Amino acid sequence: MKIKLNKDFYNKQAIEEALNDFEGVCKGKILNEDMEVELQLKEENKNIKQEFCNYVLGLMKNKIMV
Amino acid sequence: MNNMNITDNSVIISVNPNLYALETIYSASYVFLDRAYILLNGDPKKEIIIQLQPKEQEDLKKLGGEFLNELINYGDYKKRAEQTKEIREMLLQRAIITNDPSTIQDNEEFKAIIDELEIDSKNCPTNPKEIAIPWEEKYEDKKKGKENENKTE
Repeated sequence: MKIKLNKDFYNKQAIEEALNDFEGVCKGKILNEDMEVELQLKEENKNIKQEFCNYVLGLMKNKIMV
Repeated sequence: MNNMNITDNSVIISVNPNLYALETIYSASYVFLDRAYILLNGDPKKEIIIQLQPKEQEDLKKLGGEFLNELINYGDYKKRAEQTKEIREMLLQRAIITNDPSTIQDNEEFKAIIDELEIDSKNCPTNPKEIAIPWEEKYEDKKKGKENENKTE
């Protein structure tokens, strides 16, 4: 499963941290500088992609990365 | 201009970045993190696209409308915060100086502020209507005069 997060709006550091935090649910990595993220699910989860995007936004808020 | 499109399960809002700053869009988005899945896209200089997908069954038009209202709310907040920035900084500095005057000893900026305040107080007309004189000082003589008059009678 791939997600493309616009690099103008999403912070790379926040994406990396989100990937670490999501380790229990899925394995993932940033594929390129365009912030394309690949997630490999450990279990079927319908909304994991959207939850991941929200989580990245939340991290950016908490760390004032914006 | 239609800046809100409703699809099957989400509402897509297009925002002009000249009207709303990116920080404002982030702030409004954070409010909706619990209610909707949010995806930001577009060009931060030309057109910002916000996709809101509700987590539970919800009226999409209402959701989009509430997001637009939140944009106005945070846009206004940001503008007012900018307008009152200087006065807030001044109040904070004043509070710090009042509580701990030693902070100004090595700080040129604080010294400049204190000097400015002292100049202002010197330039201010000193008590033109004699308001600052305590009642006792101002009327004591008159009071004593009346008492003496009463005694002589």
